[in-house]
Amino acid sequence: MKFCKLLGFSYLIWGCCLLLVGQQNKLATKSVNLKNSEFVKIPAGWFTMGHDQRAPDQKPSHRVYLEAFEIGRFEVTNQEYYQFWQANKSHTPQDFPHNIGNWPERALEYPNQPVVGVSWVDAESFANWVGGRLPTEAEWEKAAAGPVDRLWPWGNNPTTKGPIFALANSWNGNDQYDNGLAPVGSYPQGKSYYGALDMAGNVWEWTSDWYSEIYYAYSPTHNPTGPNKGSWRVIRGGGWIDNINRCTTTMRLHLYPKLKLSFVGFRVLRPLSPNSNTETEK
Amino acid sequence: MNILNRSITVSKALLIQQKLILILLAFSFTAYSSITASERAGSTDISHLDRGIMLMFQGQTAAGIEELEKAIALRTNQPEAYYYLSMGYSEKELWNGVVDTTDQMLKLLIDDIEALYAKGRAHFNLGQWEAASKALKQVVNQDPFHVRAQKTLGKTQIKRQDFAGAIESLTSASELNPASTIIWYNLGMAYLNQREYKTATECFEKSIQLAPSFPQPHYGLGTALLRSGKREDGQKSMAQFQYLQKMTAEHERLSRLTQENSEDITAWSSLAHLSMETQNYPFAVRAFEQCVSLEPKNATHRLGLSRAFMELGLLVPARESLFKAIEIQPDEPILYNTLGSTYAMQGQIQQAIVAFQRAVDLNPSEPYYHLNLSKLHQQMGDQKTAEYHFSAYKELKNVTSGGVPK
Repeated sequence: MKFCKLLGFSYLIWGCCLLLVGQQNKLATKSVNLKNSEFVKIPAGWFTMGHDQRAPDQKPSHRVYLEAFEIGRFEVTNQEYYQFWQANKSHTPQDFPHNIGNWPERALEYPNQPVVGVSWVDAESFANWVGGRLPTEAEWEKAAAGPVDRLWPWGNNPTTKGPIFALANSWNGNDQYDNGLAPVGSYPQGKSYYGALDMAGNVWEWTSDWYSEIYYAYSPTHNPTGPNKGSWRVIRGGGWIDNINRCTTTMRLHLYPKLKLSFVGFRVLRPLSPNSNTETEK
Repeated sequence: MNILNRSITVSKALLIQQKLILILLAFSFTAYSSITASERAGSTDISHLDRGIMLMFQGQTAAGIEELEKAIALRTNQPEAYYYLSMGYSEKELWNGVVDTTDQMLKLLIDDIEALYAKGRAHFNLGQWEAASKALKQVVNQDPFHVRAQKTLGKTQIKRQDFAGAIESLTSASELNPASTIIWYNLGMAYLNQREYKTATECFEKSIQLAPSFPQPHYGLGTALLRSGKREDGQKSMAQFQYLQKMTAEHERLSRLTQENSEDITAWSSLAHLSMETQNYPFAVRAFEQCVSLEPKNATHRLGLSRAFMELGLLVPARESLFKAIEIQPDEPILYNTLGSTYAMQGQIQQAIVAFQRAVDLNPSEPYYHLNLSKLHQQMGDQKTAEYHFSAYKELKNVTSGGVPK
């Protein structure tokens, strides 16, 4: 009898182990989902960067020319990062037992949420791993504001009619994901001029630039890549911790690059050939 | 016998297996417990750090400080936690706290220029000029483009009466950030003390141009003009300085009242109107927003908010505020008149005419509503209607001559 119980108990433990491994394998067998369809193309051209009526570090507004590029339609997800992490365990995201949970459990439970708790180096390494890089501040802002200087990716009005805010995930925003992460692409109405999603709210996004509050006063007009050095990297877009008024296309914040926070993620950029004249999605 | 022996052997084997499994399970449980305990300890300081920075980002400084202090209490080797804690102390003007935390941070990240800058600024605010100068010079030596350090170093040099040094630092700062009124003001003060009145005047004028409601540059300008023999202009600047200083004192008094009682609607409202008068429109927006949150059914606050937005060129939020005000008071003509102005400012003439017409319908005896309508009808080429409203305007204002103004 004892033997049977023991055997049953052993099978139970084995079963649990197999289930867990199976779940992890199931996630691992999905390929990194950053195919062409998951990028939006941004054509070469001019746009207005910064805002004269906002914080001092957003001034002066100025015209910037960028070569063509394509940028992730979505923020990089847990599922995508999980596969990178399997091969690069030194880039483990931070655990956050107080709010969004621990890694890799949260990747298994919420594969479509944006990855957070990653440092700037983690983000850059992932981007390189998939054949891309992090966007510069200018590239990020053009992808968000479009050629029409939108203050929010969808336009210039941060309010909507109806009981639920359908444009972005923000703090106390009545947006179905109050005060927590939303799966990427949950707000299709909030898409940018070029079709990128979640460029306002959900998570702040690392960019490749060092931060300088006076950079706009002396930055080059063509393909600016930020100051040569600094202490902080720029983050953009606002996150679930922010009021929607902070989630504008021109808002700039900065962080020590080593920090891994529960509201900071990223998206990936791929340069296009200079001759690329692909139609943009509107 | 053999069967018995065999069954004893099997039983013994099973017993050993059972023991082994139990040992394994006990070991696994101990290992699991110890890992989760250490992980929990590690995660707790990270949780406090994460929450602390989040609260700082959300402007909840006191709560942010509390979290960051907990993070450091749990693990002392977190340079970022020290930095954000120093930011919190800085916002609360706890300058000794800033010096202590930045010292701790600099032990972990030697020569981190942001920690050095924060430390230098704290020493400056404590009146410790030598220590401030030392820290800030280290920053600008490492990064000559560090405009905040150049600015604070310049201010420190003025305090130390090293005016030549101040001119050097502040000139660098003004080149890096020509849009800073404070830098131009301090540079003006450095030149004033060097008795270079013409250059000082230019610096003060630039400072005033950038922020007309900031009183100090008016004083500097007045002094420079008086010392260079331009008495009348100097006295004018001094009078403006006194007026703005009075306004600033009133602003501070009202701000104190709002800090003591964040629901003091009278103080918030006065503060909002005062900010409009002194052209401090960003602050006016903030104050009117507070009024609106305290009295959401008050259309006057929403009108004030829309006017502050308009001054900042933010016409969409201005209109949003007006629409809400109109929902509250649908028969208030001034709301439609202001709404018309927002449309007119964007060149949306048809919508502007509709709004102005509604204002006239609600109050036909207000001359300026007619004048607004008259101007827009003329712009649309409807001369007859333009003249009709202009006549109404003239009649109401007792104006006897002139055509429809463009």
